[in-house]
Amino acid sequence: MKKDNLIFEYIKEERERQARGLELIASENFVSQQVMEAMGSVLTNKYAEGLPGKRYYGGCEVVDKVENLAIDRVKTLYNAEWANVQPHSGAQANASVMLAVLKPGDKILGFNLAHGGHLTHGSPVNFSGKLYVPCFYSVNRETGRVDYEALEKTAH
Amino acid sequence: MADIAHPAGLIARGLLRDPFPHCHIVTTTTHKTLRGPRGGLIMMGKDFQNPWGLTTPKGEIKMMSAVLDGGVFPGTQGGPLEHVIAAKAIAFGEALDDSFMKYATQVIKNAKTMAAGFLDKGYSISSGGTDNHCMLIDLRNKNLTGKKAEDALIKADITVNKNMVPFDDKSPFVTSGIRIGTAAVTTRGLKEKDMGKVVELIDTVLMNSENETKIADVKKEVNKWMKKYKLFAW
Repeated sequence: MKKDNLIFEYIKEERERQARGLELIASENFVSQQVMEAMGSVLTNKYAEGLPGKRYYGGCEVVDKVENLAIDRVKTLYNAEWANVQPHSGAQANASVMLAVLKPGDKILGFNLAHGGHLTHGSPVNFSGKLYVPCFYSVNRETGRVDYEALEKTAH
Repeated sequence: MADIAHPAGLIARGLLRDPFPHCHIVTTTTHKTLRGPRGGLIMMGKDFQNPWGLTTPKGEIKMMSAVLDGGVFPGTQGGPLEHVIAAKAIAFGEALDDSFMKYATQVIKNAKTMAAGFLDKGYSISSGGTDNHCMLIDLRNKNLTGKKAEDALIKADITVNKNMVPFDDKSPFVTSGIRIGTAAVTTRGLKEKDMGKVVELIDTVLMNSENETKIADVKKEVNKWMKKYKLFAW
């Protein structure tokens, strides 16, 4: 198989862009070399639907160790009793929780997107605003901080 | 439920108040201040019996952990990305290390120093400052839109994102603000002493947003400066 030079040229270009610039996007960061190595590893080849010890595919004994280690470490990090490390993204994590605890048409209360909330907290263009009935809380116009009195009224 | 995506790394090391005692469920991304691979995560401080009486085939009341596991798979996802989960395990290990405590502390110090620098130059910050890694600058008193600011800064290789300010009268494509965060530049090794220079460079671009020569000069300075730093300095 020929190496796909074009895409690696683009990756090099992006690396140079990241290296020469001042990155101030609040949601971005740079990961360590070992984090990138793991993402480029053979683990991507493995199907592992289910949870460690309860998989729907064979040959999961190694990825079970990997996933258990991730779970154990994050439980220590946050002093949490339980964790699921499988969500592909934050939006997927929120979708999973809402699917698990709500029924379509249930009311949800989220932070106003224009005041610092997220699309998955009830925006009308997102699943969370389409499947559920969203109410929002906001910040106080003068202080720029969450208006807890108004929040309490909205919650009732 | 608390979504701690932005400050996850700062909460992990106790630098911001802990949502776990107050929220049944906590969700987050793993790639912002937590500095791991792009991904998500769900946690509970304490597991408990589900309040809807859902039972297992054996008739036992299901624990919330089992209900939430089902929400992930088979509820909304298929096969997990084990290569990303391995990278998450590495990042969690890094976050447990003493060096991450230094990093997270530095992120907040840098953000507070930067916020003070912007206030000194007459910029308005939503809520008056920051306690975490980011700040929202309201540009209305500078007669600039978020879009114009973002476009001018990108020409100088300074990346920020335009952002609605509370009670904004402009559209999400234009906006009245820019959001700035210190998680990434802190990973590259910038400290408080460097924040004044960051503010200075941004201010020069914003006050000369139509002056291509001045912006080109800032770009040269940014490039020369950032050349000295690795992407990951920890």
